[in-house]
Amino acid sequence: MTKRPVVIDCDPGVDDTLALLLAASTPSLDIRAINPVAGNVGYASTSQNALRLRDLLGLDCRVGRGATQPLIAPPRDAGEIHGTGGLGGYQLPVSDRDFDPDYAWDVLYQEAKRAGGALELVTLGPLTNVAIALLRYPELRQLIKKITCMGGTAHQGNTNVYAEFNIFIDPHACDIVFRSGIPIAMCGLDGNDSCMLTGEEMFSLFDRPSRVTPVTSHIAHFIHERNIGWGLPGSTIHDLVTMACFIAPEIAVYEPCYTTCETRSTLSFGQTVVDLYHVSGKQPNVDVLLRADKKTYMDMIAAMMAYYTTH
Amino acid sequence: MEKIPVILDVDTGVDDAIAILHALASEKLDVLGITTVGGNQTLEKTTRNTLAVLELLGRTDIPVAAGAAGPLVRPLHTAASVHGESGLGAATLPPPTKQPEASDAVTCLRRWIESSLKPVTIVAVAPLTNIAILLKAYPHLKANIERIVIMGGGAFRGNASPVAEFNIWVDPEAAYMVFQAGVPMVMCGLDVTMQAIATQQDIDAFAGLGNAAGTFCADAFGHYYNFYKQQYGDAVDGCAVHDAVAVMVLTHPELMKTSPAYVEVDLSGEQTFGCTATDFRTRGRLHPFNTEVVMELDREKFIQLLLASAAQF
Repeated sequence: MTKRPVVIDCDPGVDDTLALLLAASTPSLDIRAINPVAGNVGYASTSQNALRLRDLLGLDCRVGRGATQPLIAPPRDAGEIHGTGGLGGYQLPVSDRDFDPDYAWDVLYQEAKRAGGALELVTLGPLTNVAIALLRYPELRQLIKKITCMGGTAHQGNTNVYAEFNIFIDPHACDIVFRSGIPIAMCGLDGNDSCMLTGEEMFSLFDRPSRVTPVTSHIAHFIHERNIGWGLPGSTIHDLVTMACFIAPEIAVYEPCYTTCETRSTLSFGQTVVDLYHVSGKQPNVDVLLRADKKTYMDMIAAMMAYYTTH
Repeated sequence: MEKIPVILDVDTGVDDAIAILHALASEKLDVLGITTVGGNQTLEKTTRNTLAVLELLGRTDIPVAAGAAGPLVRPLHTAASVHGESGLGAATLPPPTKQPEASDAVTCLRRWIESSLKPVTIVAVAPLTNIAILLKAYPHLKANIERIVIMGGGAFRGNASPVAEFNIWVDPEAAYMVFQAGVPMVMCGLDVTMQAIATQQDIDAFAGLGNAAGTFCADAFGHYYNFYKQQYGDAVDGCAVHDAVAVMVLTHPELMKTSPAYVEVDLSGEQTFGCTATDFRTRGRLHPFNTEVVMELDREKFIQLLLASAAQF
């Protein structure tokens, strides 16, 4: 079986960590690079976490040097939402391997060329690296097969009234990516919420004994306690749902919609404006996740935990 | 039971006509007057249509005052493709014999509100131009306004753009002012009004009533229904009677589900211009709730009530 070549662009991040663990446990994937970007926490943390996670995952892929701040919008992060250091306070061992000598956008372009049009991209953070790649290499749009993106929403936002955090951080980058013509699957807040887990469901999965349980258990409890504190009924691990939809497209129900990104509004800066009811008459450019199958999602997490008992 | 004093602000309009019909049929409402504005069609047509509908219903006792011809600061965009050239779809009504009031809408609104012993409810189912001017010019009237129920906007749905609804999009500055005015608002946006669907079967039922009002409704729906079929295809099983929902908030609130939200009209966005930005969130919302947003409707009962209303005339 030919493996699916993929570059993962991320801002680890507690839920990025779980998504990377799922990806690395999937034999059908050929992970070419993990490119960090500033987002959930500052670039110093996301880039360090990317290096250390590469060790944890047992991968020898590239880790490019990513963008330290958004294209135009002011630098911001999600504060304590991901805990000190971005991994809910968990400390991974310092890596003795360094970053790739090339920048994230150069790595992405080189890997896209190498894969001869088969490369897919999963983005779990702001789209700054990808936008820079598209600006730097206009022909890149013909070289990437598909982008599966955690970001946006067609309903209520989590950062302002309609904006989701990843897109809010760098709407101009999102605008560039959404206009690129590359097929995009957008896994947003509303669609991901179909895979919301109760505390019980989370712990029954992430507390299972394995090599990575110290990490998964710590993060699961961190996320759960934070969300309960916010009064949420459960936890949607957005990056993990997105990765599951990428790995197993059959669990995801998408609606192709014309989708743009708002870059000017003072109210909904960073909103993904989704033409869910097709009133614009414009050609759909984004597959918007409506829902994903929660049972299979949970089965995939269980299989991941089983994988790490022997890997 | 004491009646609710109501003023309707309309741009008649197929669904405005049905809203007027339902308001005048209800024993719960005391319609003090109707004001008109340019919107679905030009002010001249929306005023003429409003007068003609009142004559059809035998209610020429209701005063009609013509208001703003167009939005506060923008040119008027009408919805002729939706409501037809006349504004009343395929219905033809005789030219009205009665004239509108000599005074303009804002003058009449002021007079009606000031002279009402009970706080007045305004049902505005058109661009909010008249209401914005009223509230800016005579802010003291807010004390005698119970609430403003609008058909307009949408929390998660648009029609003039993916996120902007026509009434708000036509005069977003006016809508902005009204939502910021501090008067309790009820928003019947596209989230709920796209549930207020009249199917072909329902339209046939109006025709089957056999009276002039029923025939008028069925005819009015004609062109309007075709627009919906063309625009939405199989995704919508008929045409939406948007404006009647706003009146039914007063006559039959038990058919609706509402949620409180902070609503502000987006004037700065490029893609989101004219959106009623609707924030239901408990965490992260920056302002207190200012609006009850109607999100659900019992469609069957809604249509039955409209049929019963038409049967009364």
